[in-house]
Amino acid sequence: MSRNSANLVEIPALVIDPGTCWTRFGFAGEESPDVTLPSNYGVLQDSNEEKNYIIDELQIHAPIPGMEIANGTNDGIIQDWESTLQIWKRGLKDKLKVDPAEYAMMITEPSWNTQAVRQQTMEAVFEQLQAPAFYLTKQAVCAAFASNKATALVVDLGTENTTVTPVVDGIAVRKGIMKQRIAGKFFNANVKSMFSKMNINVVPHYRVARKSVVIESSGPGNPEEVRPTVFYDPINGLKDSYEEFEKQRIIEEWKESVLETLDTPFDELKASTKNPKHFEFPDGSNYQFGIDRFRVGEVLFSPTFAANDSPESTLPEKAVGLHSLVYQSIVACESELRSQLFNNIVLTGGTSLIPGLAERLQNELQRLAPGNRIHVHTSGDSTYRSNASWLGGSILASLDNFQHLWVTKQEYDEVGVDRALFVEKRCK
Amino acid sequence: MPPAPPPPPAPAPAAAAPAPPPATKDRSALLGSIQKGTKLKKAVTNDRSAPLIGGGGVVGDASKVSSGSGKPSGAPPVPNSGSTVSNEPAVPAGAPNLGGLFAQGMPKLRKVGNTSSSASPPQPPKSPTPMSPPPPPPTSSAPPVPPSVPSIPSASASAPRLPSSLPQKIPSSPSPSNMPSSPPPPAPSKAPPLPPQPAPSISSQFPKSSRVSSGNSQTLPPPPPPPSHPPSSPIPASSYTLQQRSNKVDDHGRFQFKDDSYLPQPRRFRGIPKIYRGSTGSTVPLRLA
Repeated sequence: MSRNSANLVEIPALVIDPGTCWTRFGFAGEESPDVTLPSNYGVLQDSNEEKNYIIDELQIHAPIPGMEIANGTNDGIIQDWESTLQIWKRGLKDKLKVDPAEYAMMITEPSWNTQAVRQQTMEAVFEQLQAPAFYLTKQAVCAAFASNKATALVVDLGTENTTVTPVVDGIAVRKGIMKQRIAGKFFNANVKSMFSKMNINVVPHYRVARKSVVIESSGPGNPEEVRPTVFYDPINGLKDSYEEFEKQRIIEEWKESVLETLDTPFDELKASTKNPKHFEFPDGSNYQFGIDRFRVGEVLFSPTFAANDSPESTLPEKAVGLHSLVYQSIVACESELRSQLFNNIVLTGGTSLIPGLAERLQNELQRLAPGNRIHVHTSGDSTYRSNASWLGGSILASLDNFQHLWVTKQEYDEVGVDRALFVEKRCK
Repeated sequence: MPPAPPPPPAPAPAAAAPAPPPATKDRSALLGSIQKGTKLKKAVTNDRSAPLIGGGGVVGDASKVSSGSGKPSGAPPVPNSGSTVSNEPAVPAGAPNLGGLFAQGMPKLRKVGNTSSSASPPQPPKSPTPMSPPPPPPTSSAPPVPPSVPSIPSASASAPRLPSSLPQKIPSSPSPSNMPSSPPPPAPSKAPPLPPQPAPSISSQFPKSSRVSSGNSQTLPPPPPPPSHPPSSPIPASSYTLQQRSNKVDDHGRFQFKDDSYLPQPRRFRGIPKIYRGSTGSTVPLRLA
């Protein structure tokens, strides 16, 4: 029986979902996070070695000499707690306007998180944020919950990694977790390489004062007038990391509007029958992208399409197509689970929004594993998919049946310093 | 370890029993409730994508619907006209803060008998859209100058300088035949409701407002009934529902209007500066001429 129930007061709960690209904050029980902050942050180091953090979705894009763009995670796992806590505090105190000491904290973690970081997470929440209660859930499990499934194969296409995690009865099956680095960032590198092959010079937004404008010709014989782009004066002292960050932003925009995969293996003829899409760069230059946009998308399913012309765009070792990754994950599980997993594939993560991806995955899997009923679930709209792990946390934290599972401050204090195993046991 | 039942919105983390792996019964209960699904509240979007109210001349955010920033939230747009959503700290202190202008909803305007009162209060350039039952103010079609507010008859007659489109020129005209739309001009202008005072200038947009017609109209005979369409209205009259031309006001019998002749006659115009006597015995000499 709980010794502590006498002291407990009802406490509402918050959900923090830290990712490589975005950190989401919100109240448990709501259907979307109230606050989303980029996990990338700007840092200005002034002469006294004092660090100024710039954590804000808009401000981070302002060109400030000397500002570096950094990220506190690596491979999806939180590495730098100083900056991470800065982000969390900013999100909670400034944006969400709550006092963390009054809220139970549900934090999500990647399925391959290390014991050390788990322990650090718990310590950060209890000691730095002073929260009264805490729990740690796996992002894949949350994504399954967000689709109201307790058993599912979660395919998470994120920024840094693509992972496939079998979730069975709410528990991630370790031996089935498959991970590879063909994800958002890899796409960016390939897109960048494509741009340079097309001789497109990517000029970031902040340099452009006015786009180049084409004035239509006023009649036959009068040429159309092309007014060139007007650039701002260059600002000295801008760091490379910032420049790169801004260029990535354009690539992201391109991905969101133009990138697509065919629902069958790449074939030039087939690709050419699809409508090309047009994209306008910040400086006003316009390009049509036809076959190439499918070629880049093909990387996910046929890694040989990778550009391989720079370290970032070079294929990681042992990379396989997405469908193979999924297949490997399923066969690593016991046979009696497999058909259920095939039938409950949940796509999540921003990169999964590429049009054509879900259909392609389904078709490829059907070929790999004929005879199985394969269903790739793509419920919800785009924001839903990007937020799926936050959403699962929100659902979990608001369930009556969950409430007895919270780790309270009191328990934390009682365990003492030897916490690693404690976390392992309590937060499954 | 029975879970402590929390009241709906605030889940109470009850202390768990020390035994870590939850018992199977509990676990399957948990999983069961996940599979059943749970109803989540819509997150209220703190949509700051609309222009700042105090800074610009735009009131409210006309037809702005939330998704401006593509933020992850499926929440319905929060009516922004100075309502509960965060107040930007950046609202300049000196700026005419029209934020709360229509916070209580569109002011319900009185219908007026004969006038083609479109009952539209002086509209700032864009009127806020998410308004509670509007006498449908011509929202998007509002031209910068409030359209056709019934030419307060006296206004049009007596003060020719006045563009007939000025709002409630409270007619200091004696002729009560139209207590025209002195629909209280919207909130902030603490409009003195009544005649003898010139209508306060609602906002800087109507610079000519108050001065006119204070004293002059007394010499005029009761003005003719107003034209049914204020001549300069650019807006098709059909867009107003209040354009009743008839003398009848459909008041459902709530009001017992008397004829205008019941109103007291105004003072004769003397042409000398007016001095008012205060009834409180103040030392300021007020002599009613």
